[in-house]
Amino acid sequence: MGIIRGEEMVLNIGPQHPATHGVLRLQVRTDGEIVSSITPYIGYLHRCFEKHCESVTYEQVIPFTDRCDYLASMTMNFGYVVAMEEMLEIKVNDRVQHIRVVMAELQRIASHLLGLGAFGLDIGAFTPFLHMLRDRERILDLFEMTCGARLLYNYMWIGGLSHDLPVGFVESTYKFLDYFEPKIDEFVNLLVHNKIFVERTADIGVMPQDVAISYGVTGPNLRASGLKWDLRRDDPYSIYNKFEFEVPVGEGGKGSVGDCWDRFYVRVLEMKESIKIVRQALASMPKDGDVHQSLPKKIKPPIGSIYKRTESPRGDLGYYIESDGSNIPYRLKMRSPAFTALSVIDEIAAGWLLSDVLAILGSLDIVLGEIDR
Amino acid sequence: MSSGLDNKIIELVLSALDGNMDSINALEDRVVRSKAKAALFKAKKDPGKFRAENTGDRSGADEVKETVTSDDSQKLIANFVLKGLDGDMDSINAIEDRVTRSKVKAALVKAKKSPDEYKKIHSPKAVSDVASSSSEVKKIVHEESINLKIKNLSVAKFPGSVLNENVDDFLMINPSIWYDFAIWLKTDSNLLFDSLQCQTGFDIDGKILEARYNLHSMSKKHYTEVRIQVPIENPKIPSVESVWRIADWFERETYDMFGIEFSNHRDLRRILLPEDWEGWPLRKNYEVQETYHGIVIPKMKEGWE
Repeated sequence: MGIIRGEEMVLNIGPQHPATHGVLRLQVRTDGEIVSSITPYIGYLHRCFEKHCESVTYEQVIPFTDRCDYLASMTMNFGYVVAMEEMLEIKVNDRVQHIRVVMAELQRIASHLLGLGAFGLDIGAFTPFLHMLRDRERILDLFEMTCGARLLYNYMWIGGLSHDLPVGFVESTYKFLDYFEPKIDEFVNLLVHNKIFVERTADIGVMPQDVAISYGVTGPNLRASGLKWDLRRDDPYSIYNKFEFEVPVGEGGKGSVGDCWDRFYVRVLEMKESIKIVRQALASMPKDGDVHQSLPKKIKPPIGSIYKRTESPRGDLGYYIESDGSNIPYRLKMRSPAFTALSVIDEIAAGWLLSDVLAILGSLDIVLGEIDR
Repeated sequence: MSSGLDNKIIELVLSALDGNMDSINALEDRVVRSKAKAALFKAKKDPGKFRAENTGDRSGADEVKETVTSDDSQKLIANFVLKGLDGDMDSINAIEDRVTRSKVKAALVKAKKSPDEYKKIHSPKAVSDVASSSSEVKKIVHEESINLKIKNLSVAKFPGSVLNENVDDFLMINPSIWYDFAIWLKTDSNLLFDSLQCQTGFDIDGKILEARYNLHSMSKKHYTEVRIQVPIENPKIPSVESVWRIADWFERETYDMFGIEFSNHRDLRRILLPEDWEGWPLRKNYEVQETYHGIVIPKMKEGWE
């Protein structure tokens, strides 16, 4: 007996659906339970980021970048200021660089915690979500202590920072790291080796390496497919070349390389590496150094363009900035890692069951604010 | 050189005062053009004065002299600051010129924040390096060697495909062969550009639309930028979505925002905006439509600012 073909059915997931992590509509064509194709419809959160940037000054762009990826605002700031500083040829002092790295890596942990928790939630595991949000709160407390905001920081400025570290920050961070490091094993017990979780994720939604590269997928999703590609190591910006850390890649621990389980586990391992980097950065941070020392009074970059990539928790975050010599950008383009990650879903989810689509979507860890900009 | 303008701009303004506007309008660099127009506007208020100030001997000797003296004075100040850092304040107080003296003192206050760094930069040996590097034109170079390499390799296969002479920053490609060129960039064993990092559009002065492709090779670890220019009346560029799959969405976004049509794209629809939206928002001459499905689109910010 061959495969029985039924009538094709069109099903809409979203735009308002908790598993879409934002406002996203997936038009799924199914044959019975099996998905034949997926067409994503995006743009529900489009806020004209790039058009706005053409009417505000270079400094005023920074709060906009916060709101693109609202789960990893620090790294969004970081990418922009690194690009601008390279364009203006500003050198910032060592203390600023160290603080930036600490913040970016804490942000990476916070972002991965939410991403992993929501992934578990998508496929029915509710408890881990609460555990992960509990620990993420502690990181947000550290950020609140530093700049007063819990989500949208506007903390990194071109040539410096908005505030120096508050008294007691370093001690609190060490305290958090000592508390958090053993907690990672808790997640491992709750999800990574959990039989139900493994059944739902291992061997599901396998993304081969060449597909990932062709679709421009980067970050943890690409590394889960087995390619060691991390901008912090391969094209170091700021002072990442000073620190020692591993780049974890997917090895197919429970199934094949590049499946949903690998994408989950790579993020777990990355949190451990981030802790290592934070510890090194805190230990080697210079005690003195003015965080406003290199703030330029007038920002007028030379005529020309720059494309600068940095590693956000979701992958290569690129800023393409074109300057015409005035104090407002002529054109500013953000290359969003989640945008490319979502575009691959039709390729890797076709042929799987409908319930697997949500597992695949969750494993890609997308943020709609950044896709729609 | 009282007005502080470039020789080139002055010549252009003088010829425009004589009625020749074409040479200004023909300028390609939009910054220079706008500067020239601004200068012309000022000059028209009192053409006689402008002519008197800017004609005659313009060998540029004054300008050269001026920069040399400013360099010298900087060195002088640095010298005094270095002395001051070593505790020799008397020589600073003995400076006769009031302006220089106050400059030195101000620089000294700054330098005291991080004396070691200042010494490193301004010690007599380093000064000459700094001076020479600051006089160079600031330019962002992505990767010089790889662009030259591509240009040289492409001559045999695609003669005349790279349009720009100076390939320091980017490659300007002829749109008609772009699709074949893209396949070659991806498959040639010397290049292997397997990843399209970023693709975006540009509106240049409302006359030309430009598509830019940032390419990266995961195996060779090199990077280049390709630009393609098309006139705004007929913006058509061959699609490369079958070469790099991500170009599918990138090109849809560029189409959505700039209205560049990518021919042979299998699904060219708007991606971020609704299908029935009018106009191309990131073009410089874009105007928001009046109503959308009966909803009036507010143009003034009143009420929420």
